[in-house]
Amino acid sequence: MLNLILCEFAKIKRQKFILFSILAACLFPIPMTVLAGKDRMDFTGLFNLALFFGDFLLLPCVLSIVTCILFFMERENGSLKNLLPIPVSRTEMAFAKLAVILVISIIYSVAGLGATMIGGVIIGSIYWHQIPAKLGLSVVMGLLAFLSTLPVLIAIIRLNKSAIFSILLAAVYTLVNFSIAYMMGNLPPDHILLSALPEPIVMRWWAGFGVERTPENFEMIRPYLISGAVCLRYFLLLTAICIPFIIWASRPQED
Amino acid sequence: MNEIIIETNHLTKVYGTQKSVADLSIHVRKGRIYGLLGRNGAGKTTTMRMILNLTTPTAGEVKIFGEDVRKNGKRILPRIGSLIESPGFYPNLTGTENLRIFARLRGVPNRQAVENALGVVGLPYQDKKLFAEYSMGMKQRLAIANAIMHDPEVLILDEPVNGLDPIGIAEVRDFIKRLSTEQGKTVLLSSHILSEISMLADDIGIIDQGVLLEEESLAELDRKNSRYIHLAVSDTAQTARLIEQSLGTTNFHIEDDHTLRLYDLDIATNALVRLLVENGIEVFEVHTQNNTLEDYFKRITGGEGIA
Repeated sequence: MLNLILCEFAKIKRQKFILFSILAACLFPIPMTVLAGKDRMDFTGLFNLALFFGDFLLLPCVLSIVTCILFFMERENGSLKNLLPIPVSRTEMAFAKLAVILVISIIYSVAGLGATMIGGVIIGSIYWHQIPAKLGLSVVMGLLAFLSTLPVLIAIIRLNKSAIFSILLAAVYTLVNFSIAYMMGNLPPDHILLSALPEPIVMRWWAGFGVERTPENFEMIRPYLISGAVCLRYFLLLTAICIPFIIWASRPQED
Repeated sequence: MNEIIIETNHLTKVYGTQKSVADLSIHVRKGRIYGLLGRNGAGKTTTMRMILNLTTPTAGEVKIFGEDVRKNGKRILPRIGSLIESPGFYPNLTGTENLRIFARLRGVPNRQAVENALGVVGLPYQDKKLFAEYSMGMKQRLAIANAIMHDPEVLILDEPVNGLDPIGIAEVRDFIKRLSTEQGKTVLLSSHILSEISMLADDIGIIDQGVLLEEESLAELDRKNSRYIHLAVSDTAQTARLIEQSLGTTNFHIEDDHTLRLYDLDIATNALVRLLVENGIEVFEVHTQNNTLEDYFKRITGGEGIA
């Protein structure tokens, strides 16, 4: 399996999208730095804003492009007929590609932290002692953003349309997720969407420790909060459901 | 040397209502070159794809080394090298980088394997040129290098000389021939170019509209199609005896009780007819056949010729 993953990385040599992903990670920290400077926000506030918008609004769209490139390249360049008689199984190949997407997701998230740190230096507020914890959180958020994107990846892979269509599909999915996560206070805590969609789940877990709050607003959000264990169970279930569908979706529709 | 390495039994592939391959049974013998000859769209590539487990047959089975390829693909396929349709590689990588990926996936232990394979097909090792910048001939050479890199026992090559220049064609042809004669490899190749098949193959399968029309050794096909005097007589056994005793040749073949082919064209037809009639044999028909392999192909496919 490691061999397959290394080969997947070798296949994307000279592809510009790794650089593109890292540049995209800097997209939100730049305006957020300006905003933080104006509102006299500290580094934690800047980090939370950049992470929230970067990982849960933009990253799914970036991952949709990466998915298109990785999952469709063999069909486009005709190399599948060289791979299958090796033999390499389609299932193993799908796993290897998902591993590459996960790594890119984490690289994006960590690159976002790097850009935010530069922003923190610019606004004159950076807590160096918090960096290891924020690095850990960035890695976890990169992982959760990847897992949150799995349902739309099934559709992207199965439909096998252009990159633009895939981005649009991912954008619609992300906007729905993000809007509900952003406005979860407007919905009752037991609303089905808050327990069904992945981004609200992340938000409900993260809000318990990652967001600065006053005692009043903590009382307000407390009914929405979920524990790390609940969040973990949700994503394990989501992964267990999505992975077989992704393997199914990556199989040829005509034989 | 009559061990069957690749065998298809009543192999059939149907796409929608279109039968691409119908009830095809071919037999590729060990250490021999088998040429699958047919026009474009005859079903050659579909057959090869089914042999390599790339396409699921609608019916029938494929046996390689005596084992069902669908059930034991993991064990059988690593012993095969293949080139199917146009060369498919990663355009953003060089030839060497492409082969290294396939070598790693195949678990090729020999570090020199990529360099050796590129050397065999005349491509430079560690060249900076990307696959996207390759000419058609270079792409085809790279595909051949990929097929032979892991030193397989069997090669399945779909139109291997496609896109090559005349020198490249001759080189690849010699190379395939050497693989068979010097290394004892079994080769199944397809082509729509009759001359290619006739120069390379030991055994030939003629396929048309998905149906295998004939499976013969090249020697047998040559025998069937060389120039000869066709004789239709009342008694072939007596005719054969007379030809042997009076004309001193055994270069003939009895087709059935009434037809005989005489391959010795030095014999004058009028003298032959006179000899037979004087000995009480009725002669119904005498003519000289000038069939080429192409004529034969035309005849059995019931249509146009082939390049």
